[in-house]
Amino acid sequence: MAIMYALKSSDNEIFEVEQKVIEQSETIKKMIEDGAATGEIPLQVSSKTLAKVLEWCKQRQHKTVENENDDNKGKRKKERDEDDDIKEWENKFSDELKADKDVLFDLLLASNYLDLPALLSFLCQLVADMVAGKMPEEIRRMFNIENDFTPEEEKAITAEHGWAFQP
Amino acid sequence: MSRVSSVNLPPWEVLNLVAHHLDPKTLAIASCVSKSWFVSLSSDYHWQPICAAHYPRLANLKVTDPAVTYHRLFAVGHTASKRRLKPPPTPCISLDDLLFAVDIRTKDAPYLTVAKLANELYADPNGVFRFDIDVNHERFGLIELQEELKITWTVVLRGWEGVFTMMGCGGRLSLSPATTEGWFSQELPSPRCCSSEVANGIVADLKLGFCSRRESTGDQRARIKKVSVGILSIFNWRYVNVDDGLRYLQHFLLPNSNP
Repeated sequence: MAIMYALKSSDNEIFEVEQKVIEQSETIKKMIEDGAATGEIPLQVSSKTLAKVLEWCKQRQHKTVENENDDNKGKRKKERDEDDDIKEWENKFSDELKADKDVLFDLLLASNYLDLPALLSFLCQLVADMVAGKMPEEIRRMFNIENDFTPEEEKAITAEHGWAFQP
Repeated sequence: MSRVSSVNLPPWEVLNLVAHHLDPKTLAIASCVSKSWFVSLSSDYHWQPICAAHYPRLANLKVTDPAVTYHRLFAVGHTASKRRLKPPPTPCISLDDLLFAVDIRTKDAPYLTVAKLANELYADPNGVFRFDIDVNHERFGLIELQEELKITWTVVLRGWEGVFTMMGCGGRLSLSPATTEGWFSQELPSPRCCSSEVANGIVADLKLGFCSRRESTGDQRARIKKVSVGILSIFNWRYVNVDDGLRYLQHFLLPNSNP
């Protein structure tokens, strides 16, 4: 029987999670080791975001367990199929986050706070890819950012970074 | 008009985390999005490692002027390396625009004068600035091999827009039992963008080829069959490529290239 832990979100929702899944978070692992996790583990993460964190961790856990059970025979082909499955899952995960940027940013901060380096790096790359190759005005529109430069300031700053605007 | 700016807006902590995943170009462009993005993304915190990785020697210059930002150092480094890699501009003139005129005379009389469009000559197959001019040798008589020759090679810009003397020198032919050849060369002036100390090192090169002569008869006369002209670098003794030759010539032939 797997050991279960109860995580409490900042809006007081309880999530029952297997130890193996949640121990991917170095922050929580430390809390458990320090014995600070006798009852519910309180986290500064909203329930909406925490659900996403757990979705990620379960997918990763699933993948690790399967790999351990594999023998070498036919492993290559299986790995390839799995890679395709993971890619597909990651694409879906990314698309949902792109559609709800508040969750995306919240999740990014949560992955930093919970010390989930793989998730943090995945999300940073996701945002980086969204920004790459875009002009400032396109970035503003995408993230709903107000251009608070005066025209003179904007001219000066664009000139300072002029090299980046050249082909 | 005020906007509900909290929606979708990435907090600064997110920016700082994402910044590590941005390439320098995107990072610089993203700096121009807003004041807070500028403060976060133009900071030395992000640019110091980038500058140190791309231009380590420039990054060290920060100690000479603590006020200069690493972003600025990266920007000048980027511009400098791009300039260094930039290929020279395409020549403004082509071989179609040039007429090569070669004049050879002895002490007493003119011997040979040919003028041909450069694109009608036999160009060197290696793409270097070297051309063969076939001489209709029946038209020209025998030349005394011991005689002092005066050689002139002139390049004319189409329509007599400009003229440049590549070579104007005198000399004797060198004789060997089997062949007779004449090599002539003269140092070319440096293009005006640099002083001659910096940019010289090329010579105009002209070779005369003769019809074979019968040594046994003791005939000391021969006929010119071919004239080869080119521009040669004396650093590596190679002919310069055609484009470099054209870029050199345009300095002297085009009216506006030397303001």
